[in-house]
Amino acid sequence: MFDKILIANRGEIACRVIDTARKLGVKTVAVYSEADANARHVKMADEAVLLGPAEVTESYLKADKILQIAKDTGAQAIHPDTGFYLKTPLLPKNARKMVLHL
Amino acid sequence: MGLKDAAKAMMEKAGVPVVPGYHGEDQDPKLLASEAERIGYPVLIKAVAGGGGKGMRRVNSAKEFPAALEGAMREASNAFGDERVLIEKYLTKPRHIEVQVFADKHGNVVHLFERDCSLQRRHQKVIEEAPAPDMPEKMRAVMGEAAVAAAKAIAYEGAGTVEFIADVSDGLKEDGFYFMEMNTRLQVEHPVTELITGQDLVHWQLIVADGGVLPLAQEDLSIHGHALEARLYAEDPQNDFLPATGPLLRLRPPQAEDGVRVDTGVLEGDSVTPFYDPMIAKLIVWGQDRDAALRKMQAALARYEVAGLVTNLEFLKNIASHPAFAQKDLDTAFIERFRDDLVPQGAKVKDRHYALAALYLTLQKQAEDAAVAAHSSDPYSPWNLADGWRLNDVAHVDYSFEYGDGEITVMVTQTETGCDIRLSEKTISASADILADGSMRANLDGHIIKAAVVINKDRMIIIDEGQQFEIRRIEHDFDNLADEGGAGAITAPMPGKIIQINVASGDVVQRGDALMVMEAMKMEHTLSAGSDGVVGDIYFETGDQVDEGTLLIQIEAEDA
Repeated sequence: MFDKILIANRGEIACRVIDTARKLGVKTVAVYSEADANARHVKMADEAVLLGPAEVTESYLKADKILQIAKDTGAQAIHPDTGFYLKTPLLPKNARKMVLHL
Repeated sequence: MGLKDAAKAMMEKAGVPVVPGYHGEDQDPKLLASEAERIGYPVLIKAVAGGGGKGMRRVNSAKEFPAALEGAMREASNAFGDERVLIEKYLTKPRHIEVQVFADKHGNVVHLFERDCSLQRRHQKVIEEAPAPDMPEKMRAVMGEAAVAAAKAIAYEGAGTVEFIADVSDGLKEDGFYFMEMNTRLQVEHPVTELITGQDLVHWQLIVADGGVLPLAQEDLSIHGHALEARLYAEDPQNDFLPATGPLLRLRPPQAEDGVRVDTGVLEGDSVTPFYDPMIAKLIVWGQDRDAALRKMQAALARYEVAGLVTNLEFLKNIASHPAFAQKDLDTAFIERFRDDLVPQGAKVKDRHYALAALYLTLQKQAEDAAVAAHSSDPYSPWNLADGWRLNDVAHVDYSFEYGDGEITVMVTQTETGCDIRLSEKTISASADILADGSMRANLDGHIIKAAVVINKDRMIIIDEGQQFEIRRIEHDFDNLADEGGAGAITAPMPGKIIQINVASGDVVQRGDALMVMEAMKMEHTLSAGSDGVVGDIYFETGDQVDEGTLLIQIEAEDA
């Protein structure tokens, strides 16, 4: 199992993922926007890194930045999950990017 | 060919049923008519260039077909400059049923049964459940196999959802469902699957991502009981479900107990902002069967307390208690069909809510006086009596509220057992205590109820029988505005404990934003910013005890 994962999301689904990671003893890195500095997912995670302003295009959709944060924090995988990355129906072969290995 | 069409063609090749249709280039009317016959009426003629219902016709019989085709082509040509059409089977009573699949890199693929997400409003799911009501075992097996075949066809790995549409005009049948699309992620509604299978799907995701083998084989998986999920949104059902924003001044989900689960990303004191999805929480319940789960859902929704912004809570309650929902008369048009029953009519503020507000203010004043007295150098001084009334005078305290265009005054007089509340020429004999969760157990003329009162500046929100009632207080004595910080320094209005800090140094705040919550004598007091500005130093931490008048937070002007 991984030692540490980054959860590239916010809201209830980020909290949901952190919940399971905690039960498994996997450390968690949250990312957040300026509007979410006090959000529940930030409070639940072991560490959290600021992405940028509130607008999703300036924060949660900054894939390059999220990848960099994952590397910097030593996360071994990214859990992108629902929403931001995969809003459109993907061509199935992209599906295996669901959890990214680093 | 669009992405969805490509996916459908791939699925058809893998033997997964797709909606019968004709998508060919040949647009000869005679060929189109014979294709419609092959597909079986009723059919839907759609413009290939499509959109907005233009060039779309439902055709019930071969007799109607030529005229409908002509009309559809003309409309398509006018609207899109492209008269080409496609034909699909028209489903008169469709249900959205999806299958959870999981695959690992070792070639193992299983399904974790189906979810019924037919209760939708403009393609946004509102209530989901598992398993699908009235699903025959044979159909479940065939649909599960089709979903596994779909995942195998694309060499899928991880968690996926295969969405089908089922025609239930003639009941659920194993040859009456069609592939719609595949979602390559964990769905919002995954908890209902977790509750009926006893599995943690995020755990499965991590195992698969780590290169592991699926924890269970198909034959090890089974359905246990029934689960329902309701999505609580900040939105206004009475205003066409317009997304709402605002502070969650009170947010008390039902206690997590056996069979009740709440997945949320927000806490009391947070705000729903315009930047993200306005979902507040998902309430998921489990019961031995659908009726038991539904009863649990009704009870849990009734206990949900949320105040400060508009939500769809009453709308959800109306669905959960609708006879047609209990009778499983489900399809994707359910919400539209019963719209008048489901959209709440708006709760009318009654005299009893003014009484509850006055009662709460009375208790709050007593608590503050008691806290001050307890910290006073002379707690026995008559001037520090904790009851809020001094000397032997039968004194009363008046509270005023907006009332229609005018004002209502509620007079509270202390009695031996509590107080008399006088309003609208009635007198209510009342008493109350504050409970551990901050709500109030009130006795009004012998009728004991539980209600919560939330104060935010001059707004007072009373949660009574699970519904929000908002009234506005008129302050004639501005000394009482202790909860609101003045511009700049925010000080403790009474001695107590800091139980929540909502801001960090450097945050930009607006007048009225909740900064901190204090607790004294079991009563919670929200301290709000008295002006716009930037949060300067915060002098205390959650859990600290502070004295009355202690400087807690400094708000600096933004341009300073």
